[in-house]
Amino acid sequence: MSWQQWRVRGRPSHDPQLDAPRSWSRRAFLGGAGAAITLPFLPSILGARGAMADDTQPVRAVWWFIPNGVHMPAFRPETYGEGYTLPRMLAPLSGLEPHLHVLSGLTNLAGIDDRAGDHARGTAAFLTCVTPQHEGVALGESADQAAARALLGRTAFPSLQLGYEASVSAGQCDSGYACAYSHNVSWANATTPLPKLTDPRAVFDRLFAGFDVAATEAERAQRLRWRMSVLDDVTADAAALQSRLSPSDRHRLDAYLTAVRALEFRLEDPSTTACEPPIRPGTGLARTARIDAMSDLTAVALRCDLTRVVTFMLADGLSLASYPDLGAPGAHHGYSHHQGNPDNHEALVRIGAWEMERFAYFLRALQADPTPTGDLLDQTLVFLGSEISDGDRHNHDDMPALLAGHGGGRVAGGQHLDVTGRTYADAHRLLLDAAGVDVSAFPVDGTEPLPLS
Amino acid sequence: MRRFLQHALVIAAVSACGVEEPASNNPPVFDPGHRPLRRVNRAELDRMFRDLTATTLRPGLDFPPDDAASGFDNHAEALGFSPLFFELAEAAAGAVARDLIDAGRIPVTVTAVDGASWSSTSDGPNATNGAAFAFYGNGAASWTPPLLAAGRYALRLDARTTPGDAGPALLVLEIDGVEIETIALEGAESSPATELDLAPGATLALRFINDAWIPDAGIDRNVWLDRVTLEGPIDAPAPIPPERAEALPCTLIGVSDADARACAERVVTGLATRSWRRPLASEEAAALMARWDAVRSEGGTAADATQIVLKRIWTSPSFLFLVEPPPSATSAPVDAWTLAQRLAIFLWGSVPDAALSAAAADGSLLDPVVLEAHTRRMADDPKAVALIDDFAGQWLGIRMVGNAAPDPALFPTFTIEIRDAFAEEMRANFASLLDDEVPFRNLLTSEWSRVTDPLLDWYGLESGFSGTGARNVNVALAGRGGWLAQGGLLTALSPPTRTSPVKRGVWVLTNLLCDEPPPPPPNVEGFPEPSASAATVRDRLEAHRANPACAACHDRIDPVGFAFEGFDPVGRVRTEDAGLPIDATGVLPDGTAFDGLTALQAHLADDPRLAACAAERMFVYAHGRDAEAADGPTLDRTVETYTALGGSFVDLLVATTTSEAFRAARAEEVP
Repeated sequence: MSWQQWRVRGRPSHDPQLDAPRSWSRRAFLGGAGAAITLPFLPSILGARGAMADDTQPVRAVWWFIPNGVHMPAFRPETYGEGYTLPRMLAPLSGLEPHLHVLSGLTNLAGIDDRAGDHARGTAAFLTCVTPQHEGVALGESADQAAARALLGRTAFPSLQLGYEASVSAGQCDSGYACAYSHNVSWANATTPLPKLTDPRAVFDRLFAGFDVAATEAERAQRLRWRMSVLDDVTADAAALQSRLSPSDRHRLDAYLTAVRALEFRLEDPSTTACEPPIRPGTGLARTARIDAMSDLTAVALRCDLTRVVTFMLADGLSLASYPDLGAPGAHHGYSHHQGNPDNHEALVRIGAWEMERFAYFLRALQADPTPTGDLLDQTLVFLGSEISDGDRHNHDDMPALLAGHGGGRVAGGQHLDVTGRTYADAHRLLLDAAGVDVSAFPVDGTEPLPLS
Repeated sequence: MRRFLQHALVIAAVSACGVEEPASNNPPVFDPGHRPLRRVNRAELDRMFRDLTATTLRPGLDFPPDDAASGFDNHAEALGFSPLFFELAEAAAGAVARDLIDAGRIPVTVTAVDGASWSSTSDGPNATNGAAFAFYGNGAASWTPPLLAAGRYALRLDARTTPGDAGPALLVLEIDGVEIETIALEGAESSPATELDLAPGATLALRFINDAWIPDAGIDRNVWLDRVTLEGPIDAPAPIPPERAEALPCTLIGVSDADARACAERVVTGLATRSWRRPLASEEAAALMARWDAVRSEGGTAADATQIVLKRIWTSPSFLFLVEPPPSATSAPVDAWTLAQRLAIFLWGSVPDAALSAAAADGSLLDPVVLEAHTRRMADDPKAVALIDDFAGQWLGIRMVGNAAPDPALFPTFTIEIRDAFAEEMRANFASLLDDEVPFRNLLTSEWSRVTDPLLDWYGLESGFSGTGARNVNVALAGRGGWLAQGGLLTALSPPTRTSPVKRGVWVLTNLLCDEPPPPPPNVEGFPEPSASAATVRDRLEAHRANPACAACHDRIDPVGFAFEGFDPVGRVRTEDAGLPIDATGVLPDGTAFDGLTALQAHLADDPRLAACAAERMFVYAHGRDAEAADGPTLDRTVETYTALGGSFVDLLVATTTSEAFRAARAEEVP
């Protein structure tokens, strides 16, 4: 869809907030510096948005990315079907089994190419299922963005990209591939990666800041008009510029225009202030607290229906993070080249189990949010995967995959399923289907959603 | 000056095939390549805001980091334009605009006190009651607000009342005994804001005038004053700080409408020209002021309107992208403004300054002699630190140091302080190369390093000087010297628990010689574990190299890496590994034998691939695109020019900026 198609003018009736220092309701400041804590669900919060027909019980789609593959023997349960025993890496998910499928045998063959760089390729392909071009930057639209595009206009934020690591560029990433491939799983199109926010406070501010309680309604409306006028003016600038550009550069200005529209769209949407903000997260949080704070914010954003599509990268592809606190002081990527060494396996399992603790925290945050018919986990599907399977082999078959949540009753959960022969793309399409998106919106690598019910 | 002219002659001689020749019957065949449109990155955005307005805000620091391609995060392909980037840039533009306009007015402060801070000034039952001041009968209370400046203030009262006989409770507001107005309050409410002219020392008083007490009728009108808020001064002009005067040369606040508009026009056209890095078309200037007039006509102040227009300038694609004029049908030299923009973003990561803009305006910048002069001038300016942060930061590994994470169990004394000092040492050492008397090969052969106190201890050095800050120390005496022996690089190129000759060797080949070894084939064995026959890192690698499949590449990589073995994973000199003496000898594929890092660096400094590699890296950084095969002649001439000029890093900058590719634009068909 081009940007022109979704240019909609609505009533400017909320947060115009020109450029005044950001302010929040007094309540948002209470306790200020603590970690984010979700407030109890308030049914009135859903307000205006919940009134949309056929949209009262939306299904949310979330993708979690973990880096460097996993130690599969500690990830794959020994038996299939129900009643399997959680292997060591999955043990932190204990109690969540009824809401979980372990999916074994998936491939993501777009990660394969006859050169090194499996981490960059696998990360790029995680959600696009497209093989990245080695020179320059050329990939494809990711599944979450296909969903965001189809759901455009339903929520203030078409999608959110979140993560833990801010990927400061030291120049090189993986085998000459552009760093964008290793750092981003969400791609608006072949050349536009969507960077992730990694500071919980920045996420909070983006979701909830900007409502100037001191301003009157008339003042806010006026400031909004002025703010929108700036967007009108720069749209005209871009249109005038477009015709003067070399054809090979025009897509860059298209991306600019799309971005302007996205902001305009949000400003016109009164729903952004319909939800009571949680407490603003503190700064300087340690790794675990920071990831969990991001999970809390994700749950709030989904609960408030500020977005229905979220991607979360626990770390970048080919993560070199070390975990001395877990007894794994070497680089994660180093351990993943385990060479069959039991010490490396042990380090990988410890890191993996910690990752699953974080994942369990997120799922429980969703569970803690009641909805009119159950809880938020019932209304969500979460897919978890990685860029490769085994760190030594760098293989893109037999990939690690978990599916959590019930997608509005579409997925039962509780089993370890052999889905050999199916692909990550099919799993992504399952999430799209559950979220009410025509699966043909994501046409790569396979055609049908995973047949789960 | 003598040296200058010489350089200009050298450039003229080297630039054999001139794009400046008339395109008559002998059209130039030179293809400068397509310079792709790119957006600015977050560091450039911050620097542009800094240089345009002298703001201390650095909003870009909170943006997601920009990704790199081909080694640099200013590469056009890497700089996708996401909705998030625009959203953050729009907010940044607004914040910087506000910050600038606020520099011309006295800061607005909000003073809020509880009613209990007021004191009764008349007889009667009136008194503080908890946090409130309670008016139980007719009478007055007063308060002297702590004001810093005279001006117009907005007063708001939060009060509760109980109903009386008829109508609202009435409070007369007085300033220094002069009656200003009567405020009517009913129920529990905030009063509408009242605007007052106040000066420091003024006393405010509120006099309750319609008390009612009719016990039989249940009437008892009282007022509880809970809170009083005073905000201001509103739009009071302040002297503009000198560093802001270039952006804000006149006052917008507290002047007549006509003067304010005239000032706004100066500010807006001046900043638009500098921000968009080109002259403003008259219709563009008119459109900017039309927006200003529109905001004014809707009730905005001159400050509001100027702020909106500045935000509009800084949200425009003309600011956020490095826009160049439309391509023409033949490859041709770019105009002087475009050249100035290229030069400023390359050397400073920012906008041109006044001197460079003047050379663009009169066209003199198109003269290679002038271009060289500006290149040297700019390399000598503090703003050239951008080359250290972004060019050397990525090319030569300085930014990697921030990611170094040695195992705290093995290296308990390694701290963030050491890590930061490592990075500072590298930055300071690179800065010393920005002196054009210093040959670039000193990068690898210098016996001196600029180290701070934490590193003196870490390296086991005596400085011979007392005092704080970085000092120049002869490190050769301690077995160091040269870029590769800096602790930061040594640590960043080590895994957390051991050294990695492979990582160090690959880094040297890739970054200094642009001779990147092919990546290992899939499913290879990794690094062997220690064994009785191979305990040291070196021995373990030698064992691995016995495999012929590995040897093909590792014969090139490992000897280079072995030269580093005299340094441990956190950059300290060591004499043993796993209890065995260090062997830092190696033999390169060409038969060159060496022992240790100093010897390796001396050899690398003489390798002709070093200059060629530096020229290629700089090309990518300066153009924001990869060097293609067609750019080969440009790179060859750049190295020639650099060598002929004297071989300093600054000479390499000059050779790059005066190259035809840097000064020309490729022909394009524009449908």
